[in-house]
Amino acid sequence: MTTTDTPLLRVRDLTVSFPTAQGPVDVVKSLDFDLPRGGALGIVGESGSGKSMTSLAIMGLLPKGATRTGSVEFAGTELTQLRERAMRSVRGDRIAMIFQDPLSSLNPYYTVGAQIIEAYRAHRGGVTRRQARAVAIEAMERVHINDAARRVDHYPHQFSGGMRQRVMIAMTLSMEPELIIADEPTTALDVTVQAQILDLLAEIRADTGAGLILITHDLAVVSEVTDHIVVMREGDLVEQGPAERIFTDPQEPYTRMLLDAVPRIDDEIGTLRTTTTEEAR
Amino acid sequence: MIRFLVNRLLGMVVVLFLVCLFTFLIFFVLSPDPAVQICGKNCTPEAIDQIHANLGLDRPFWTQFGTFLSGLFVGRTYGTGANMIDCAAPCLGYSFQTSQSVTDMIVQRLPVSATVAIGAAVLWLLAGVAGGLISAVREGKFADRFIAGLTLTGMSIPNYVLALSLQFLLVVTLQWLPFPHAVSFMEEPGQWFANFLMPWIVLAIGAAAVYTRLTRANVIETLQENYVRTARAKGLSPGLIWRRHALRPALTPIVTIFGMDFAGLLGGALITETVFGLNGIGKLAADSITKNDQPVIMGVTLLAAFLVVVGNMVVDLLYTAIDPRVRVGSTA
Amino acid sequence: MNERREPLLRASNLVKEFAVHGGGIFGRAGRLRAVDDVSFEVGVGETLALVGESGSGKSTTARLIARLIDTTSGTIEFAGREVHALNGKALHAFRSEVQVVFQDPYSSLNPKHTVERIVTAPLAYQRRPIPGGARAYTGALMERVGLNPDHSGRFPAQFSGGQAQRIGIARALAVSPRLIVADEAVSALDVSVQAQVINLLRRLQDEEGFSYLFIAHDLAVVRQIATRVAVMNGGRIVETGDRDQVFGAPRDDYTKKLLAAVPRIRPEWDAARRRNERARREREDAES
Repeated sequence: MTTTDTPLLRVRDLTVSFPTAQGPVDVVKSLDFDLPRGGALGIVGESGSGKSMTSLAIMGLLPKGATRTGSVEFAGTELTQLRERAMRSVRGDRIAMIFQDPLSSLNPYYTVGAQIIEAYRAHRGGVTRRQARAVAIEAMERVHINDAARRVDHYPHQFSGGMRQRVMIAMTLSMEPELIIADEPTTALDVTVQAQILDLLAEIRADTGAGLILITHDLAVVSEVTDHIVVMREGDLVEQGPAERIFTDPQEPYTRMLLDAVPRIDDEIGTLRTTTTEEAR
Repeated sequence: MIRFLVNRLLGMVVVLFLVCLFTFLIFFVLSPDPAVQICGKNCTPEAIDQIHANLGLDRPFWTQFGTFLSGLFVGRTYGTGANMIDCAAPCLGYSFQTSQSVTDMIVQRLPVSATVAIGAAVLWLLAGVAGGLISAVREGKFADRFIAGLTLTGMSIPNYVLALSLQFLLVVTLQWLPFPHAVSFMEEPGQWFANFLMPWIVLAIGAAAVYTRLTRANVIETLQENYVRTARAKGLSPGLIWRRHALRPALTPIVTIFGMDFAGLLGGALITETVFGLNGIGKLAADSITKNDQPVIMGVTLLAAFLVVVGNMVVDLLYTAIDPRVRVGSTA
Repeated sequence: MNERREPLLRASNLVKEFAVHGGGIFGRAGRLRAVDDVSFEVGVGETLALVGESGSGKSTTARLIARLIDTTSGTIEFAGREVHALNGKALHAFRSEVQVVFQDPYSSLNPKHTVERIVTAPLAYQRRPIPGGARAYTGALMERVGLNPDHSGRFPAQFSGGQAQRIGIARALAVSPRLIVADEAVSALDVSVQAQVINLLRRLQDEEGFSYLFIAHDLAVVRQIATRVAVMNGGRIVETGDRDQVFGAPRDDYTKKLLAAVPRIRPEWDAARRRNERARREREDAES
């Protein structure tokens, strides 16, 4: 088996639990999935499915008090065994993450240029101010922000929602990560902007060969963007498989119910079959 | 930006004017006739009238206010002829009891109040921020709870109780500090320092308690912010995350509140100065209230109000310099 | 014969301006035209969907219609009467004709009130007697929206998102309105729940015959419930028409752009799924 067959990310038996007054609660239960090199994986689920926690668990960014067990193997390295310092060098450099709300995810006190270049400075070191600025401008241009040389000195609140999300993407780009994890990157954006951001992510993947994990509740989005899908519900992995198979031949009642429930823009009302909810529960 | 500044300054002028007006009005309505005091024991109605005329007390309210206002800018005179008293600008009034202009009295005592304020401010800022940071980092643990207990105590004990107890404890019982007596800094720096140490501590304890809780709350809240999560996701070191992403947003509001508190304190810490016998503006206010020296009371009140208003404005302007969201315009 | 009924709601040349900060003692505040000369009609028993992206003015328009804010200019006629200038008692009466369902039930319903209190509140405010008593009336309404009437003493936080939204719908129904303004009423719900609530809204409309002014940004959702669609952009309506016409043959460039941007599941995949589904059921029937 050659190294190119090794999946970029291999998750086995990943479990995340939180202590509560009633005892420990598992929000992610024994997850198993692979992401091939350069592939795009979609993790879909409704609220409370544990999809966001999964991404935080991979990155080692779980909130205080949470416990993580299982294996997360990234390009051959077992992330769960890494010490925090080693994990920090992976974060932002080899695995980058994009979050849902770009306004609150950017620090209002610093310019976007400063924030774009932060990861670069931290990981590469020994960068002059001029070099750093050039890197920031280049990153902004790659995400198609016009007038980047001037806007690199602007503050987050001076950008619109879609532009801010591009800034977030620019932040990840400066480091050329091997894996990008995007947690609901377009949920807070208008649909036309959403389309642009998704196109941008596709473009970047094509350019850099980076893998993508896209976390969302929107099945229509994953059908367009990803090749492999994991369906989660209340911490459990309900079903996984190639995108086409999931959409054409779902095996689990829950998956079928979800697919029935998605409103279609070009299809009639009758397909909103929700009676199968009872079957699925 | 310029328009913003101009707006603020104009607003400040309007507020200061209103402050003058209302303070003057209050004292105009409430004060007893100073003529009686001035006249002394063997007073005749003619003497009273004469004094009224001299002081301009027989004029209508707005005229008196106008005279007062102009006195602030160019000075005024009291009385006529041989008994004329000259009050140089800015004239906050004239104390007939002590035969001094109020402005002079205040200026004499300003250094003491300033020393008290600055020393206490430095102490409480350091203690408050340090305490708040420790509590936030060790949230829920023993250090946090212990500090919370301290702050609660600090906020609950009345100023004068603390002042007297501290003085009794440190000076009389333990004899760690010498009994305070007025010296200048040049002559006996040690004694000078000892004089101020207790007032600083007394003033700082209450404020430090508040600042500790404030800092703690701000830091905890900032640590929850999404941009801190982003910083972690970028793999930044904890030190860097603390300095750039946690401290700056958390402490900025504190700096601005500090500006206001400090400005207020400059107006005189009444109780503390009185208890420790420091000849500052606060003590001046307390003494003149006891002696019912109206012009001084009014002058001190006006000063304190001015300081608060100006402090407020300065803090507002500071905020525009510090927080980019307030400073610059809208979305691009 | 094509009988044209008088529309239930007619909005004409609505304008709403907001003052934008930037004023001061000398400066004059800028004005933002959130709604810029908007006109539309809603017929009896039909659903008009107002779609647009953020900043299009659709939510502001909804609030104008519901008289939650005042118009800067323009007229609103409801059942032939002018209502945009109503005040006092007349406005009160209007409130029993037009009700609103909001996006987030947890913030639009008072968390300290029980379901019973929430649902009967509109009648109480209008000083109308509650037919059959509060408990029975609440129970009947809850059943109509698919909630368990035994839960009438619970608080909104004790319900799931979809159920809480049903409470909001029940409240709107309590006064038997003729028009319900649904302001992003299903946008905050999970997909499976969203489908249920959409079905509920349609069923209620079939049963009662009221009209909906349905505000949404999600075109796929709108496709499921609208009779007619009005597309808004930058405070103006750029296209109005029957649902099929707007979705199938849009005339305006912005509408086309909007439709093109919506992510969709490939129809051939849906077709394949239906075939597989049918085959599976036939197999199961054959086995049993």
